[in-house]
Amino acid sequence: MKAVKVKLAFPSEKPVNFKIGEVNVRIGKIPTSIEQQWADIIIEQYPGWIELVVKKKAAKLSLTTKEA
Amino acid sequence: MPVSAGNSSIQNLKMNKYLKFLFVAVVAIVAAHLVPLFSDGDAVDMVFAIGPAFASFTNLRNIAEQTSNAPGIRRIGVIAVRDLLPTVIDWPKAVGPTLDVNLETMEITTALPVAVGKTVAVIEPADNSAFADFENQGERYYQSYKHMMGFDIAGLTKAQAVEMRKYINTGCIFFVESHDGEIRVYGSKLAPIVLKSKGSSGKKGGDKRGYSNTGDNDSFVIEPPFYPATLALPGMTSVVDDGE
Repeated sequence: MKAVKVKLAFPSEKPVNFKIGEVNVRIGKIPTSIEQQWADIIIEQYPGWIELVVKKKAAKLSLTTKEA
Repeated sequence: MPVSAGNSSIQNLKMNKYLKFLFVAVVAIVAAHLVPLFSDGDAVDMVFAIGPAFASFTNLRNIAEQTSNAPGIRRIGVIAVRDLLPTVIDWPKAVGPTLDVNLETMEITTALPVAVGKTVAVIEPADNSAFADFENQGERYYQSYKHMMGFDIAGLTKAQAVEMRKYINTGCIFFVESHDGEIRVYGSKLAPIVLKSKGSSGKKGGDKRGYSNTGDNDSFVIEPPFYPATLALPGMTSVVDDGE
């Protein structure tokens, strides 16, 4: 199962536990890796509660040389 | 303009015309299916019906053999109705054009509409003290449902007193979890349950020192609906919380 990184979208010192059936999905202010199916459920049912943490792409290196 | 560029723009125009034609065709097909639905009187009644349609009886029997029927309450989740989204008038709705309960399964279909950051608190009642009941109330043809629940908390500490103070005259919705893991919802936003609390010091050794809490409300249109495993519940845990 694909995993995604998420964190709370609002300031909170305590993490929030989402009970989904018999599964605990605990999300705090520090990015946490959870299964995508749980992230999809929480984002759909509780919009504005969590946000996906997307890894920033490294800047492309320039291959041009400085002219003398 | 170069020849290749001209050919490309002609192809784009053709593609745009083709997409517009496709869009119009899809709209026409959808409209052809919807118009009969709204022009037929019965269909309109179904779409805008306020109460549930009459459902004929089917067989009713006891729980299946070789299945445990464990009584009692494991835990109770609670949230104040003030912590729900102000834009939501009522939840869970069992009547009206937009229901929050599937009356064929008695399961809630809309997740708890709680304000961002507000979570369900978990109550761990004293052993064998929690109950959650319901009954038909009223005379023949005046009947509706009454929901009742309660629990004891052992102890009379300052921390408990601080927490219990919050319940006075405060409308709540309770998520009552039985030993088979099912959660049923007691109270609603417009018909919440307000706890009545009684503290007792006990008189002698062996007496119960602590709180006894009960609450009820009536005029519900269904018995307490089930909160399904497919809906998330912020604040609840699937095991006893570690206190974080």
